Amino acid sequence: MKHGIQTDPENGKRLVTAFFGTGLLFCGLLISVAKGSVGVSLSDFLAVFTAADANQGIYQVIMNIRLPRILTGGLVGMNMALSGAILQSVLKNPLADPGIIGISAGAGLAAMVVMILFPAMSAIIPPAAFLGAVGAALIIYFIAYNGGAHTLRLVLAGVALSAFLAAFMSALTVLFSDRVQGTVNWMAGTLHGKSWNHFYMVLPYSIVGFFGAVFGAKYLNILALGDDIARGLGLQVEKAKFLLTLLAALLAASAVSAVGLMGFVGLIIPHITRLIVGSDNRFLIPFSALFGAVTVIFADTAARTLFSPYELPVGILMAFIGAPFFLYLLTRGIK
Amino acid sequence: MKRLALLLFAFCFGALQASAFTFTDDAGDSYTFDKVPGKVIVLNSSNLELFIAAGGKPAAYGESGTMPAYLNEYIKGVPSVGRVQSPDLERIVAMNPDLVIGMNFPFHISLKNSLKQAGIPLAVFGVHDRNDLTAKMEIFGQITGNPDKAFQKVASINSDIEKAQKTFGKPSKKVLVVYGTPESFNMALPASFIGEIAELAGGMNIAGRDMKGGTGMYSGFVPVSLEYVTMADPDMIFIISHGNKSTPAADSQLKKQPAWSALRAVREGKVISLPFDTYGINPTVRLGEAVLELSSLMYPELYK
Repeated sequence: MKHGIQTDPENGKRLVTAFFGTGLLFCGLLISVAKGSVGVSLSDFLAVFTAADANQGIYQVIMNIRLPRILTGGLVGMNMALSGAILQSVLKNPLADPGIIGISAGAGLAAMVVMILFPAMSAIIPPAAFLGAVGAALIIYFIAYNGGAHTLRLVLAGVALSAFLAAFMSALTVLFSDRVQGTVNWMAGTLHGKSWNHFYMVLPYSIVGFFGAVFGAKYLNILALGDDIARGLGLQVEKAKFLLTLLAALLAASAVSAVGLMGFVGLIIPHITRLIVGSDNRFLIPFSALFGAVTVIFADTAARTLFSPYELPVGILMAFIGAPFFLYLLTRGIK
Repeated sequence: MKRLALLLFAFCFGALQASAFTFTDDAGDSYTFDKVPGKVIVLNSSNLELFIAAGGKPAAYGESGTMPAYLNEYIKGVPSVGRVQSPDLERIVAMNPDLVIGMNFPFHISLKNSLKQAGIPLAVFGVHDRNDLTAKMEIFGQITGNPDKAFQKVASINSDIEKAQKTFGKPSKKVLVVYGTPESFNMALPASFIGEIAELAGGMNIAGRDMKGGTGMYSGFVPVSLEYVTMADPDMIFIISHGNKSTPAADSQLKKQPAWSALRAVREGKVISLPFDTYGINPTVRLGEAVLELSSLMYPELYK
């Protein structure tokens, strides 16, 4: 296997991509910390980290608003992209994203119920959304399970349950149309007002999820050969599928519970990554994580600064910029 | 005798003429009545408030989740025609009203044609700001046949606002109005109705100050950067959420949010959550009371 990697003609390209990707991530972090609706001079900026009696307002802006928000965005982008990459491989379906295993519908309904019916308990929105997401994913998995989780059955069960839950969301929207305003940002996916509590909420899942996915990459490669061949190669197919799906569910649920429904990253980033580095999951997985983080960080910087001091939900901006870029890559790939 | 009959006829005709009126609704349609419509159905809560304040008695109403307490009391015994978002057309037609009043939003506007076929006029209204409120009260005074009562209501609203403005003098408090929950929130711009109330009550709205105006793409409620809020350093923060509070109360939920907790207003406990049925929807005829209440929350020392 090791020999295979060394002689792979794609390796040079991957090295360059890794170099550029990491460079972009650092650039993104630097730009996003430096840019915002409040202009910060370089000396003020450095003073935040050095002087003890730094300008309190600037300190608060950088350390408690901007930095945690950027880091949360990075983690969320990484988790969603990883989740999408895993699901596309496990389900062998290019249209798979965390929404397909009910994450969006489950989290969306749970969060909406709290926001609309129990607005005074807004502190429980993240855990409720998390439980809703994981709960929906598990229900779909067990509905689809019949001596084995057949991928087509999983996808169809996912579509059906999502539609079922979406009906409840529509009902809430119609019956409480006067209260919907309070939920729109969450539904569009926003990093507005996110801080350290959200960061620490996502971090453990990101760590476990990243290493789990990197470790699981080789199993994804084997699963890609088809269930029968994978079984022939000695893989416990059902166990591998279940654990990988669960991992994807946890990754996406943690992200969604912190920032709301953020569609684009989970579906498109793995595809963009695949077009650049190929479909070997050992590379696809870590690069998806990297590009997911880069995308959300850049998109959120734009969301914060384009119409400053007003903001756009990052989810909207991401689809706005990302989808044309994806189409560009796609048409170039076809040539 | 003949002359007397002629005089009587002239008198009756004159009275009839006096009560004939024409008005234009918010969709631009013109309505003419030769007499005060006797049976009026009001589909939404804001227009119901205007109608009642102008001395009207609704024949039926549309149910809404945001009715203020006094209105809930008032409508006991008045038949309902379903919810605001989905009024029951069959029930409305069966009642054969002289006029139906709805909200200026696409769904009610689209009902106009269906009702027209049954010979029932539907007029739609929405109150945008204080000036608009005066104009709408004038129309509602005509509809109820009680223009004096409508005029008195407007005068009492104006006198409440003047009272508040005399008390606080020159606005000196920077305020921010947050709409929603800490997990998903927007901030009210001066162009929104709550933004206008806050300014009438002596608040300087930091969302919208030295900004490009709060019109066009950004009007009403928008997500305003927390960084901007931190630097603008508001004196008070008002939160409007859907909790069932009936009176304004101190709120501690922002203290638990790291992004908010360092704001001076949050540290000093100057965060107040406002009842939704007054500040989350347009309070229309309760504008004067709302301005006085908000003003006394901003300047408690002046209202003692």
